[in-house]
Amino acid sequence: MNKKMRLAAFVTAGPGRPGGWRYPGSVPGWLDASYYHNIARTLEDGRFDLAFFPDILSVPDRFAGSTDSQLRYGALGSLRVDPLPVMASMAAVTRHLGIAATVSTSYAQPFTVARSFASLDHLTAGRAAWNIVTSFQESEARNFNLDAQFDRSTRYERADEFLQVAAKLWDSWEDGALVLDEETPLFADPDRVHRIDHEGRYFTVRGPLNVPRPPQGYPVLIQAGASSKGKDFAAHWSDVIFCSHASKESAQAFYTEIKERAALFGRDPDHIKILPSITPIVAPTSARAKELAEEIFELVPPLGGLSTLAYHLDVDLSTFPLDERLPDVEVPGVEGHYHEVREITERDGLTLRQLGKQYGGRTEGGFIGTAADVADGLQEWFEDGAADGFTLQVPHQPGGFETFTREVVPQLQRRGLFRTEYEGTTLRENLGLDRPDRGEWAIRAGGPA
Amino acid sequence: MTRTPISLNRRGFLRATGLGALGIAGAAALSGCGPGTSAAELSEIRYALIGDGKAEPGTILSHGLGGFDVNAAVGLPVSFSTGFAASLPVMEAIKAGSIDFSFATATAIIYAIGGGVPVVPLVAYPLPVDEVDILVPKGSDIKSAADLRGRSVADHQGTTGTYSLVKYLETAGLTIDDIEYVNLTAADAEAAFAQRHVDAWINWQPTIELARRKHDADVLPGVRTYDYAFFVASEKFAFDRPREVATLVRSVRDAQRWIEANPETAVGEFAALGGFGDSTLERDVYYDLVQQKRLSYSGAGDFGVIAPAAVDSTQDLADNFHQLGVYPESVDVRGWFADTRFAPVADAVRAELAKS
Repeated sequence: MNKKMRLAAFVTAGPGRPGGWRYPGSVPGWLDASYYHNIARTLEDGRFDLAFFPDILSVPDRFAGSTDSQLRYGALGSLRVDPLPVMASMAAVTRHLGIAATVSTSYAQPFTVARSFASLDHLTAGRAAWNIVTSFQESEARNFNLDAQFDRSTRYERADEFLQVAAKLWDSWEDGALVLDEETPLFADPDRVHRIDHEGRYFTVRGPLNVPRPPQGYPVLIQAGASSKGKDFAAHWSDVIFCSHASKESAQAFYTEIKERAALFGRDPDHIKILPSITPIVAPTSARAKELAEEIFELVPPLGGLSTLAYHLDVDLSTFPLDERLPDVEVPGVEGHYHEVREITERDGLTLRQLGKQYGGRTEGGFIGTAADVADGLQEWFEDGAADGFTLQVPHQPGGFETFTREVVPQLQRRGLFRTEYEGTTLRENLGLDRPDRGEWAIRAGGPA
Repeated sequence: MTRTPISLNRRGFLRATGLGALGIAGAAALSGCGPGTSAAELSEIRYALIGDGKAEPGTILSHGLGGFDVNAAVGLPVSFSTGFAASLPVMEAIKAGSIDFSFATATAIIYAIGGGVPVVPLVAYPLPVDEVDILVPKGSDIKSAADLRGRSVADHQGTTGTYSLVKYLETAGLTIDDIEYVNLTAADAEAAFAQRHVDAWINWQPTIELARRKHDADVLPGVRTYDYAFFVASEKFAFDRPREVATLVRSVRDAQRWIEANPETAVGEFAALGGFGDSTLERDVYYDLVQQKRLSYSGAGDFGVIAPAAVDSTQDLADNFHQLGVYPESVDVRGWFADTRFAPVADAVRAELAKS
């Protein structure tokens, strides 16, 4: 068995899971660089592929039209530090760990984003990754000169063009265009740096970029689309896919579908790594793990969970009765999370109040037990075609990362499922991904747009 | 592995029924590194190292430091498996047939007895009496066991620390019910202590001394360690190869003696292996604790075959944990240690340890 799983860590630059910040061992260090340095070192000790920072561009107000529930309960959108400076700071104390930051294509310009990630990729010697989101909150649109957000198809159309422009900019310098010949002199070869002259529906960009081609060609591209449009976009563009499933069966279905779509778009399915989210609870005995899961679960205020769910679905859940089941609703937001809660609601017959608590305290995959139990479960998902690896979420930071690294990683290593040393120097090399040649964007975009 | 979400209307904590449910699932659920070696001859001895295994007697043997050649001494190849966070998961690995030899705490032994792990106790020694400490913030008004009444104390439940805490509270006529007991792993407990989420924190060396220096904290007087530590082998290894088991036990003892005779050299070698990361503080603490004989392995230079005191102490720990509800059932430690199948192994070990 020489196929190895990949591990990403879902690190929040803010309180993250509702209630987690109330756990006695949780450290409220989100505004302190050393907090991120410690997490980065732990993850590198655990040979993680990358740290992954989700992001959001507003304090959500989808629940009862107010930011109150987010702020009061320390829900996931209450406080969120800009991931780019965090990423740079973490890179400075590590040598192998890849670092992914989320930037939205709906509220940024391709030149700025292409430049940021090219710079980060150089400064980290090829360890940068960009988690591409399109954003789905009215509250975010209102922070960027807009009264309303774009509809879903516009968001993805814009995202697609955004990626093309960014990739063209990364390609605007040929590899080796920076000559640095003092004698001639030739600093950068003008014949190998090109304008891109992009004129499209959303963007008009001349180029070239003012940063040479990134060490990885393109930074590693991550996407989490679960809607039909999102899945198409991900299958076109992604190197890594982050997703969230309540059961192995739904993870398998998603896995198969994405790999098929990728093949359909002329990409090698093996060059898209699908890393479902997991939230394991690990303890020395399974009885203690169940107890611990209970303790952590009890810290979740139902309205805190509902506030986050309302934000994820982009539906004001305060308008539904708390003690009845959530009816079928149209979801403008994240369809993937809606499928997940539908699955939980139907399986366990939950009222909306219970669902809020369950959603806020959910442990995807139900990996609760001893380190060996958890490793068994991960092995099963990995070997049964549900995952190429996992994105680790923890109930509280930073202790959750330490526990997983100390207890579960060695179990995976002993079974030959996970690396004991980093294979390469860049994130792409560690993930087992090729470095894209110039012009690969055209293949990923599926021909000229 | 729990595959169902946690019930939403449960009252109080889940309690496992039967000690077997403490986490040792059926052996089938435990996949180690391949199948057990039930019928086959042992072709190598798989020795479990706890933690990263870079600063202990096993390190001397695994890296051939100090002139040790463990393969030659035992007459069988010895391979070393790292990455066990504690000795309790090693018991699971022994049950799964993937480990043959290990250090074990008293709590791991009790767990092994309750879980039907096919393991043989080889030697025992009391943990250093001053191995456990209770940390309080500098200038805290907690000065003694009596002052802990009503205060919050972090402990990793079901460990040596728990036993010491119970005994320490007893000295002031208190029980666990008289304090606010907070069950946290060492990493979480340190975070909670640093943020003053808890009034006190109990743990063992080198963790607690390192934390004391890092956080400039105080320790409470009179905190003692009561339990014993053991080395154990799988039944297969011990029963099939008593002479080789005995030789390996003596190698461990001699490796510990070498560390204590050459602390500068040993700690230098451990540091070179990355045993202390890049922390000079960690290295300094470790060096001091070797000198003061306050580490879990500090008694391994003088261990002997299982003596009645080790059995009594372990039975008392089991009874205390049963009363506390940590263990759902009482465990017959004495009966297990009296197993006559262990006698030939003990004889071989005793004879080997008589060689200095």
